[in-house]
Amino acid sequence: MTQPVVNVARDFSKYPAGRYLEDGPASGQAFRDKFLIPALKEERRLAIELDGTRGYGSSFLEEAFGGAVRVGFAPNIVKQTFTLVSDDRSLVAEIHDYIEHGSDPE
Amino acid sequence: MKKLTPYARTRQIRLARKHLCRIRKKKILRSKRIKFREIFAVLKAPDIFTISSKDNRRSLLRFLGKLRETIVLHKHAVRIDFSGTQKMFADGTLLFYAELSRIKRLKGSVEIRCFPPRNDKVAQVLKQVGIFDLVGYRKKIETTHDDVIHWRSANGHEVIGEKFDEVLGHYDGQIAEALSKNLYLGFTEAMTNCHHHAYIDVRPDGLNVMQEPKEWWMFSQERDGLLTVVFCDLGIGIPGTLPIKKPTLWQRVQSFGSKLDAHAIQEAIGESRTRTGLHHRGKGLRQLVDVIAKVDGGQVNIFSNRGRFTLKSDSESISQFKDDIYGTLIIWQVPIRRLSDDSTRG
Repeated sequence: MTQPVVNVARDFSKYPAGRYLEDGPASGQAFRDKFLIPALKEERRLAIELDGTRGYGSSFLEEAFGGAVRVGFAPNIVKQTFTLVSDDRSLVAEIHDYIEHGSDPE
Repeated sequence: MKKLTPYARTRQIRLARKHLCRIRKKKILRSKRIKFREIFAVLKAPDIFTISSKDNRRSLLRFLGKLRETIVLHKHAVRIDFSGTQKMFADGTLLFYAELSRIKRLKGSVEIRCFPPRNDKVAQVLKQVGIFDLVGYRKKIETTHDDVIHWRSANGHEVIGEKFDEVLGHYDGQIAEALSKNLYLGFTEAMTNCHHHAYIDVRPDGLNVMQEPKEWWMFSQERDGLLTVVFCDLGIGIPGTLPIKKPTLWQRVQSFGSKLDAHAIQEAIGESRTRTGLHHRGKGLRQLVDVIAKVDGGQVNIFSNRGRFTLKSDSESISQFKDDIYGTLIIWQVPIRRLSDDSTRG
């Protein structure tokens, strides 16, 4: 069975930015609540295509992925649930770093 | 005395009436002028708009202080006299634009007008960035200067990535994708920082305004193959944020004794680097600096309150000014290639 895919630029926003919901409509928290938390709760794997956006700020990435750990999911579960797809390997490494240090946002 | 004919008499009366009318009109005009002088305080704009050099910075900041005081505190109408203005650099112009927008929001019904500049290029800049609109000057001005055409501006009070394309979208193809992504990162993180930290207390500019919108302003300008992107907020500045958000760090900064604001910026940047221990890129303020870290000929300046932090060719420096900008202003400068360069190569 093929894994469901979320393309950030297509399914969320080409302009991801900000940390919390009150920051703006395409924040990390908005992305986490819309795509990451449902997948984690339902224990279904999800591929996330990261390319195609204007770029990513660390606030967005940290709140989306590190925030999933703070919500209560273990780092290894978060890592196993999501397959990160990008030509930019440093971006994937960065997200893994946020997942590992998710309980310590600052 | 010779007796006037009836015709000559009527003519003399008519002429006398005309003369009287003229005198009355002159009187009315004079009283109107006096009244106008009383209504509008004329504030002379500085000759050069910049915050990067000591003397020009002082003139600009004194002018901005007078503008805030006259319009917002004294509720007195102002006519800004641009007649002597000769040069407008992106940093000083953005700070002025931001202050003027804020003053417009706070002024109520107080009027702001202007005397236009004699310098044609300055007039084009004022038109292009929207300052003439803020002071109600509606004369049609055509933008012809190459480096004025490329000025773009945006502002907002949320973290909205789409705003990036308003000011930098048309450079697609002229700047490398990696640099474009880095600039996007710097821009969105600057907006996020502004939203989270800049307006957490009252701006100490004497106006005592509570509950301000978390506004930011941005310019981009291309000149001589150099792309300049300037971002600013009118919050409490990094040295104002540290005692509230990072008291331990602020204690360390105070131990330096002098150049407090400049050290505060440098330490806040340093802390955001060491805090994460990440090898790929920093967090928070560090990201704003890392935007140009790998760009040959790139430079970043962060002005906050009285301090300044510069990173150029991997070398950091700080400096302290006497006058306070009451906010934070970031300038990224990167060399770009022009599309015309490619087309001439065939």
